[in-house]
Amino acid sequence: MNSIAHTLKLPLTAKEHNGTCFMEDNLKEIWERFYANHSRSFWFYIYKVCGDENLADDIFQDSFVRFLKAAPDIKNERHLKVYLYRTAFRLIIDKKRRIRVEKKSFDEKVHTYERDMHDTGQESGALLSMEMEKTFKRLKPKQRMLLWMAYVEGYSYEEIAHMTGTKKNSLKVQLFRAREKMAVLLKEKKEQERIKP
Amino acid sequence: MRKKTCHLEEEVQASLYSGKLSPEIRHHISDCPVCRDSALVQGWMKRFTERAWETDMLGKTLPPALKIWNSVYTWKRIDKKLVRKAMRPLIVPQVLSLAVFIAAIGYITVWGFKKFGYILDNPIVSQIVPFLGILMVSVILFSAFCALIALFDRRRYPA
Repeated sequence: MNSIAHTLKLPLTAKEHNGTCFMEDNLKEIWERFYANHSRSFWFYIYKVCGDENLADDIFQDSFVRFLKAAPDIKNERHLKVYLYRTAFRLIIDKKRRIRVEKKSFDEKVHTYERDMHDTGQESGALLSMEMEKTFKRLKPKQRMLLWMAYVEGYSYEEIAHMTGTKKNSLKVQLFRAREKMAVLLKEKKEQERIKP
Repeated sequence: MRKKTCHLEEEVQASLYSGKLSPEIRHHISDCPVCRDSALVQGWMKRFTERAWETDMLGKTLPPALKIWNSVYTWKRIDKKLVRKAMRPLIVPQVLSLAVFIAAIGYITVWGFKKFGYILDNPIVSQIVPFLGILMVSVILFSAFCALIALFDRRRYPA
C-alpha cells in the first residue's frame, strides 16, 4: 500500500474521462482497510481537539468526504494522515464559534458527572480522567492540536508546520507557548494536590 | 528572559515519543527548562490519551467505511443530463409564476394610477414613476429570458 491516495484518485479521474468505474472494487477494499486502521484514532484526535462528540462526528465524516472528493496526489500513508489531520483542523477552526458554546456545556457535563459519582459513591478513577480532560480543555484548540501532533502522533516540526500552514520557526514559538501553558497548569495542579490533605 | 527554543528540542521530542532516551538526552533534559517541560507534557499526554481512549472509545461506533465511500461516489455518478431532464418540468411553473407576478404588478399599477391619479401630480412621485417603469421592463425582460432558456433546453435535450 505504498500509494493509497494516488490509487484512490484513479476512479475519479477515470470517470471524468470516459465514465467507467474500473478497479472500483479493488479500491473499495483499499479504502476499507485504510479506514479500519486509522478511523478510530482519527476520530479520537478530532474529539480531543474540538471537545464535542457531535461536532467530532460531523468533522470526521466531512474530512473523509473532502479527501475522497479532492483525491489529492499523496505519496504514502503518513502523508495521507497529515492531509486528513490538516483538513480536520481547518474544519475545527471553521466551527470555532460552536466550540465556544460547547465549552459551557462541557463544564455542565463535568458538574453532573461529579455529582453522580459522589451520589453513587463510586471510585474516582473515571473522575481523574475527567480532571485530565478539564486540564486539556483549558488550552486553545490550536494549542491542543499542536501538542497532540507533537506528543501523541509524534509528527516532526516540518510536518506540523505544513499542516498548520506556518513557518517552522513560528511553529516552534507556538509550540513553546502551548507547552509552557500546559506545564504551568500541571505544576499548579501538582501544587494543589500537595497542599490538599 | 526565558529561552523559548532549544537546539535539541526536536531530537528530545522524537526520543520522548519513541521512548528511547540516550544518557546524553537524559542529561540534557535535566539541564534544559524547555526540554524539561517537554518531558513533563509528553508524560502527561501519554497518560491522558491512554485513559481517555479507554473511556471515550469503548462504546463509540463510527459510520461504516462503505457509507462514506458511497456518499462520495453516488454523488460522482449522478448524471447531470438526467438531473436537468428531471428538473425541466419545473421551468414551466417558474415562467408562469413570473408572468402572473408581472400581470399582477401591471394590474395594481394601472388600478392604482386610475384611483390615485392625483398622486402623480406630486413632484416626488413623478420622479419615482420612470424608475418603476424601468423595473417593470427589466422584470418582463427577465421573464422572456427564462422562457428562452426553457425553449433552448427543450431543443437541446428533446424528451
